[in-house]
Amino acid sequence: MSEAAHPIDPDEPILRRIPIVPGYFDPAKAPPVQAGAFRPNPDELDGISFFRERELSVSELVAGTKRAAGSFAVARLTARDLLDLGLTL
Amino acid sequence: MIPVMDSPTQALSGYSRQADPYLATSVARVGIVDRSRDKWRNVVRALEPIRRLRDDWDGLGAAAPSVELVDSAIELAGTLGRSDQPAPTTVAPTPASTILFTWDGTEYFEIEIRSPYRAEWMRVDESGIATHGEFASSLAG
Repeated sequence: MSEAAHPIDPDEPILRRIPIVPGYFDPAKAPPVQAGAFRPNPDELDGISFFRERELSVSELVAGTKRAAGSFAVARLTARDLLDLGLTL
Repeated sequence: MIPVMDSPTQALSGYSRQADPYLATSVARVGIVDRSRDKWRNVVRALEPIRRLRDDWDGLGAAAPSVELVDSAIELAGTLGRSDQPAPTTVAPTPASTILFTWDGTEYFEIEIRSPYRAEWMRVDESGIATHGEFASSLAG
């Protein structure tokens, strides 16, 4: 479903998959989520990608990779968390 | 023009001479300077799982950094640790199959090892102005 059809509500949960890799997610650190988890990929020139939980569940997001279970964590934020940082969606 | 330097230590020492030394000012102010060998050992420890990464480690198709790249990152860590530089805040692979050392503070500094024994650095000062450079070890191909 397009964003135009369903505008993002500030309270809408959004997801980002984070590999459990040094610099991205380290269970031994507090907080475990590291800056790399939100660094743009080389092909993300104008922002970074999140998934809308209303369209893709956490389990579907984790299952959407061939990597072994336990290779990823999923961060759940609300759109408002990003808007409060002055970012646009 | 990007300065090309012969070695990591030359790059950092040259950098420190040319500008208000990042390593002695911004990092020190936020209290994260730790030149202990333990911190550098943790850097090397963090590189070990990176060496074991396989392609698609990020679930988005990223190729794993090569063993040679990880080896050169370990060597760079050893060189910087021995030259009494503070350990980076984070060590991470990137989706571009490179390895990134970052130092976060009032200012930001990073070294990205882009190919075995070749790296680029970037400093972002307090006003947000970025400067870039690159350096290579004599072992670079």
